[in-house]
Amino acid sequence: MATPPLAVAPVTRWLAALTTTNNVVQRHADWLLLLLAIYVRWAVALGPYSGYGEPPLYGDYEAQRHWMEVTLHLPPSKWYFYDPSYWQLDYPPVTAYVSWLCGWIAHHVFNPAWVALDAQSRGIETRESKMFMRATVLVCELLFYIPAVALFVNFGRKPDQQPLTSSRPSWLHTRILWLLTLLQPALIVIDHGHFQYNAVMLGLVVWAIVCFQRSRFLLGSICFTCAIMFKIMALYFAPAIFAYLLGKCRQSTRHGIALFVKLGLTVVATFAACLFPFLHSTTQLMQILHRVFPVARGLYEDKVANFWCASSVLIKWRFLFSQPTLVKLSMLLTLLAFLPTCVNLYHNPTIRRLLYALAVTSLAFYLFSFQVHEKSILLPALPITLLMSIEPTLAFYFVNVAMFSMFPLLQRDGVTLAYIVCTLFWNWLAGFPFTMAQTRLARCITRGTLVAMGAVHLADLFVPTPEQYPHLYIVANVILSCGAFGLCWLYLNYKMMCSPSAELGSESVDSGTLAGADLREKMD
Amino acid sequence: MGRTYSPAAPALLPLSPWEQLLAFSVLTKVLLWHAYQSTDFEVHRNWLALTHQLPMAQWYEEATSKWTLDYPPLFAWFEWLLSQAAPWVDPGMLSITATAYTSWACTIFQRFTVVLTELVLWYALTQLRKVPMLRSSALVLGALTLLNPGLYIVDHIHFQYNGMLYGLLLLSLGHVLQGNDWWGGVFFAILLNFKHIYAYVAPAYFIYFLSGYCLAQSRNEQGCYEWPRVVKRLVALGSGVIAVFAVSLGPFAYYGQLPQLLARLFPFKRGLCHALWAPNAWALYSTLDRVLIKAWQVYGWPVDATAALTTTRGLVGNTQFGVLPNISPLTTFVLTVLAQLPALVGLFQHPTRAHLVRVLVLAALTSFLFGWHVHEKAIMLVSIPMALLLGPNEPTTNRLYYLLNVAGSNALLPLLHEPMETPLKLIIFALWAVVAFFCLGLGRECSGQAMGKLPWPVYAIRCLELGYVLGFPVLQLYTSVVHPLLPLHQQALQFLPLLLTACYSAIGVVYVWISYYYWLLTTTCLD
Repeated sequence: MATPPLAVAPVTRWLAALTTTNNVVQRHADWLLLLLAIYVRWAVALGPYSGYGEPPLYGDYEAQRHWMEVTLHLPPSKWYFYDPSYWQLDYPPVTAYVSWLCGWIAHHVFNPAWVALDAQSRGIETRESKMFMRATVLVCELLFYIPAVALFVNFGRKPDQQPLTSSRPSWLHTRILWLLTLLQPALIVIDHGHFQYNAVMLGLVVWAIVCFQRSRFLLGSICFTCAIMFKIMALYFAPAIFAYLLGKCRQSTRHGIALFVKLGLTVVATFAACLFPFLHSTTQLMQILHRVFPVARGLYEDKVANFWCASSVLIKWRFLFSQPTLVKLSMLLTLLAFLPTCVNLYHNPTIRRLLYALAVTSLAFYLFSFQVHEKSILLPALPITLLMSIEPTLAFYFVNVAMFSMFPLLQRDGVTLAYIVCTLFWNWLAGFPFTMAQTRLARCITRGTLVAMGAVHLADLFVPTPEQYPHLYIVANVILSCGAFGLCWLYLNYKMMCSPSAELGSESVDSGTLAGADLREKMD
Repeated sequence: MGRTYSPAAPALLPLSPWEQLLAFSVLTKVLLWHAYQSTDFEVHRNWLALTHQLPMAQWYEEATSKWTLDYPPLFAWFEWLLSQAAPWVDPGMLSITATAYTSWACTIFQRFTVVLTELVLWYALTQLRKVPMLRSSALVLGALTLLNPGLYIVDHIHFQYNGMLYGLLLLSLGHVLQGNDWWGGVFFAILLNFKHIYAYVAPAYFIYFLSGYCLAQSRNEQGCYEWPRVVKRLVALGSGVIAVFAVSLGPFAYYGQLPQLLARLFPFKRGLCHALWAPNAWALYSTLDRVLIKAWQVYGWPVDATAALTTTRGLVGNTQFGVLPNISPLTTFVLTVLAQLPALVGLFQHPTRAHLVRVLVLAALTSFLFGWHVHEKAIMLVSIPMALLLGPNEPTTNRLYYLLNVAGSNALLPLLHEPMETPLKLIIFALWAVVAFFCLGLGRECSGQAMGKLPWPVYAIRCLELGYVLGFPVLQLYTSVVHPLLPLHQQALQFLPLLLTACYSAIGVVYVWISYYYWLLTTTCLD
């Protein structure tokens, strides 16, 4: 059975109706739902992207395309030294390898003009090249993210697997989670609308979680290291993963030390393998480090719904402190924000706690760390989406606010239509679960936030911005979203700290409550 | 569902299944607004402009743009109505220009009107619940119709207002099936004045109203006609229909515009086949001719030189055949009438309401197969009303409906020729085909157990049908994926995907026509 709010959702009813028609549908429902998810992604991909028709710099789309040409036409030794004035490569090497592969395919299979070096291809926006770029995002997601999600939602169906929920998930339940996880709008609008390859990094993180679920700790740590080497932002998850693995080492009394050493060696070896072409020279490594960690940039980018930006309305941090002080201050606050959770996880390392801890640490980084983008909200959104089966209200509340917080960015990119439709579609399919919180307080908060978000949108639409406050609506957006994220962070911490370990920590299934709970169970 | 959620927190927006269907349909269709814009988009944009800018008397004279107004007056009035709201969105779209006008506001406005007017179709489908024979299947047939690939492809990507027009047709049929014949007739008259392609099914309506409404329903207990009643009904219906036509055509007749209007509505200068071949008899005929030309050339027999030279022959403009006799508009007309005559006679003899729907479907299918300059989009004229014949106890029509829809939708796919839309159209087609297959109970019918009990000729036919359906993925794999990637830029092969698509679908459509005709003539008049 789905958790209460999802039990009355349209998706539940439609899936149940569909599957009663035939066993064959039931067996292949995964593929039908996947087709629906691809439909939504590709329909979003039809629209404009970041920097569409905006010379001379364009946007993230052009950056990714530019990296394809740089990696394709130049030797690795020049990748991180090439032309810093035009979309310098500032992602770790695995991104560069994926770019090289995409560029190689574009060059040798399709049209070399799409990835010609420099001036010959800058800002190329033909229909064919756009189709190719969009297709690479979709294929990457199909390779990295989607199979991992399939394994994750299906985990716990077999008798020897410990499910996330208190009862063993039914066939229908896993199908609901499968569809709702695939249609989570934040990742769709950023990857397929705005244009990025976040699904690769997030997919590798889900692969790591899937490996941990199956007690494949070494494999999981390889996946997670690759995620970091694809996009450095995966470090937001690192404290939780570290605490989890350390806790696992502590738990296994006999082989603890051996496991710890093996994990350490695996991680070092994976880093070395990812950096292999650059290992021969310290200059190369320092240059990569320099490009990948943007400490030289500001406290935050544009307007982002984190603590620094929201509080800057009252406190002008940038004038009060110097840049190095701010870096240290933000590091300290971030550390304080995730440390209790990590200690808790270390003492009781279960998958459920790991998911909570991943959400807490990534949210801590988002709220308090240095140089955060509004798109970074995708990171906390991932573990929170994966928690959907036990925390439906929170998952839908959080992702809706995350969408709202990215609205200024999406509006700039012209992805407004996808923003509206994807959010509505996802919420409607699930029956608007975030409005159905269990307690009165939670209901007040979720509904109040909904009303406030609607009010900001309506005001933005109908009331012209006052001249003395040109960023009024964006600031309202930032403060509102930041407040909501702060509440989510508090709630997640509370769940981590205060739930008895029997609720969150036990790894035994009470089989008594499993049977009869669901009429669909017997269809399996 | 085992347990329901606590009433303390009621669901936001508790929707009925019909409303959920609408929500799904609207949300998935609005997502397509960024799709490419076809010429039909500019056609309708131009009509908005000219109905807004010009007095009525000049609507059918205006020719600045080559996309002149060629729909009947009520559709022009409909465009006029829409154009009243347009200045609020983007006044620029209301200028009469020879070249296309594009803006995102204009796109939103026009695409929104398609979604909005499709509510007519949704409403008409919800009303089918009230028809006794459709009560149990209304939701399924409603979903299959509202989510039909034809609507996604033709209305929401390519751009037309079929949702509203087929909604009017179903409203008319729904009224007839519920016993409100008069309203059914009036709605059909309105529909004819929106788009005259529905004249294809007018003979079936005419015969039903003549024989069923006026004559059969005016019999007394002894079975004799009560002539005053016949006359009364004839006058009632006639005055309704004539009033609709008078409102629609009257003003144009007053301004002396009727000849010009008719010239626009019926342009006989077009060729036998539309630019994209519709999957009908003429597609097969043209292909056969093509093959025969090759054979004739091999043996050195004389071939019509002009026909043999043009490799794109038949795809654009007038059709000249090399070996087979040329086809004139009169031939197609006579053939269309003759081919549906037996069914119409049957309807005259047994003018029941359910039979009207069956014969109407046949009339539409026959016109599609043999008509002059038929568009591939006209297949919806068959596939949408045919949904009214679906039911849990109607295995034959369920099967034929499915075959016809799959074949017809497949022929609509080349309409979207841009590569970006290819994945979407294939997904829409595949999802509908798979879900409909099981919703219509065909999964059960095609299971090993059910098939094993069939006599061998039927078994063989079922296997062929199944094989035909399974051929579509193979065909689409070639035409949509493999062919565009092949380095084939020769003239001869450029049109191969279109030819293959049209012919493969045409085989299915012709097969459905034959089977449906057989079913109609052997197992009807029992209601």
